[in-house]
Amino acid sequence: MTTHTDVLVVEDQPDVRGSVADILRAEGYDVEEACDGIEALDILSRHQVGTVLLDLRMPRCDGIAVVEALADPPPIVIVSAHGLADEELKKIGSKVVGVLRKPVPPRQLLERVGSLLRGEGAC
Amino acid sequence: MRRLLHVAPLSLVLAVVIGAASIVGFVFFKNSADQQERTLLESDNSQAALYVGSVFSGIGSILDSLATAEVLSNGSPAVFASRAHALSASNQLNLVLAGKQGAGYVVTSAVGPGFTNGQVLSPTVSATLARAGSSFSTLVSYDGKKSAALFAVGPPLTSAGTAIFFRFTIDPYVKSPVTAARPFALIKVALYGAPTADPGALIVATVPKDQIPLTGDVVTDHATVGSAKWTLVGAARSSLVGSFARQAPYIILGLGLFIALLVAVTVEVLDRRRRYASNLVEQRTADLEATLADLRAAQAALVRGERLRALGEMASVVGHELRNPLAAVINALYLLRRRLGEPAEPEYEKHLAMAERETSKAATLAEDLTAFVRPREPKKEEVDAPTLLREVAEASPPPAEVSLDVDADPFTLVVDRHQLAEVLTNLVTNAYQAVNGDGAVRVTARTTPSGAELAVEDNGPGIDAEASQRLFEPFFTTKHDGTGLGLAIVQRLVEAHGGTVSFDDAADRDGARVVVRLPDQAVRATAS
Repeated sequence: MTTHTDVLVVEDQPDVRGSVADILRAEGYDVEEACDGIEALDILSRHQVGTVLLDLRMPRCDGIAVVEALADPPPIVIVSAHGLADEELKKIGSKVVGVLRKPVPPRQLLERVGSLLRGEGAC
Repeated sequence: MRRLLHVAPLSLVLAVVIGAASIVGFVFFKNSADQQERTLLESDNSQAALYVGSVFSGIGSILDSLATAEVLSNGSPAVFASRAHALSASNQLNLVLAGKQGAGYVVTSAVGPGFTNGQVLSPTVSATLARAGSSFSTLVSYDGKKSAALFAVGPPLTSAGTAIFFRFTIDPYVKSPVTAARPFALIKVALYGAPTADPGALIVATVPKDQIPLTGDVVTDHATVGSAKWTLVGAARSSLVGSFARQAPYIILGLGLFIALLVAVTVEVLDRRRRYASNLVEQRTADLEATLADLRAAQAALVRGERLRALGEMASVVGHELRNPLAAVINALYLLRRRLGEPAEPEYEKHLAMAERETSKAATLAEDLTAFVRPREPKKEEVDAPTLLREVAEASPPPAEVSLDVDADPFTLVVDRHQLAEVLTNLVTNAYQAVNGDGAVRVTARTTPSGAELAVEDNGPGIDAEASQRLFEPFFTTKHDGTGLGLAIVQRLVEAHGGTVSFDDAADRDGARVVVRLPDQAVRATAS
């Protein structure tokens, strides 16, 4: 039994995670929050997720591991304070649709999420 | 070559001084030896003259005894002949008694060849006999083969009107035992029976005919023979002062010149060694100083590198750690703005706008810090220079009232397109800010013998000397709201391409000019 969720926000920093989720909810999206990779994988196993905003550096299970664990992932946008190192890009580049660097201006984030949910894919 | 010819003044002076001293010594000893030689020669010749005088005085006593007999016998020719025969040891000698008849003399009694009784004597012999007295007169003649010497006495030793003479003839060049004895062993002489060295009056010479008359260093002395004055010319057979005394001046000269040369060469060699050593010391000192300077530069570079590394680490931490709080604040401000409207009520709007502005600056700083720290290996590709410049100009158009002039030679760069664009964008943006909204900015790209040169210049107020020194230091800025990382990032990117970036402060130009110099490898060879 899977439920639909528009956006899954995976972020270990509660303030960041909360504010991103609030911005998305204010626009009317269904948002799920995960504080690390394990929680994210759990949610992904139970929900049909429209798009994932995924942080990289997290305790327990990081973003790279999440992407690697997913055989057929939904559109994933990496949102990180750190850039994506070359070897990381090599590992997961084909499975993500974009990389955004924090702080991401909210309007840019909304545009990106909107286009992904409308099925416009990677850009 | 010039170096070889360079002689130390000291060695030259020493050589000249010692050489001059040896020449003076030579002249002095030579003169002294010559003088001594002449003194000895004169002394020997005068001895020889005395000897000659004494030899011929013997003839005087023979004539004396004959004159006595003549007077006692009242001029008896028989008595004279008998006495003369007794005295004449050889038939070559003439002893003649003559009597005056008219203007000349006639032989009364004679011993030896060539004279007979009653023979009228020649005017020259008669004149000699007329001059004869108690001291004998002489007549010497040399015909080229034989010389004849005549010695005559007359009154008062003889009776009035008579004269007695002694005559002998000899070959002047015949060797005699006399010449083997002193002083003739040392000197060669020619004896003339006349007051001067008259060749026609030569009596005897102690050298072969071809050496007469004597030449060179000769001395002349006179011997008194009877009433006559004979001439004796002498010259040394070999050095009278001895061969050493003769050679000494030459030895002194030779030795002196040799010592002069030796001293000069020694001094020169020592001086050259000293010069070589001192040059070596200078060179080594210069090398050492250069090494020290290099070391200091290396140390400075190391310190700078260390500083940059520490700065980099700090910037990295700050850059990343700022991002999460910034994200939270920016999101919160967005939510507030959404709630309060745009513009919000004036009471909130002021604070909200300020918070948005400052968070935006902080976000820019975080971007710059990350860009500064992030090691970025250039992904090189061929980039058309004019196209690159045009793209930069289009992406960063000048503000109103600012003109932008782009001028690129047609050539191809081999660089990371994005990084080079970032470099140029940064420099062009700085130039826009420098002219402060009113001025001209010019971007050029040229190939140079060593690679390529990209320059951005403006006609703004320029950069003062102190600031230009620190222009590329991280966090150094002349702008009130700059992070001070723009040119530091530019420098990193250019250096990653093996190039340099510098501020060109030509005094003859207003404004600022920043030049990016790229190496040869960053330019595609035009031939390919």
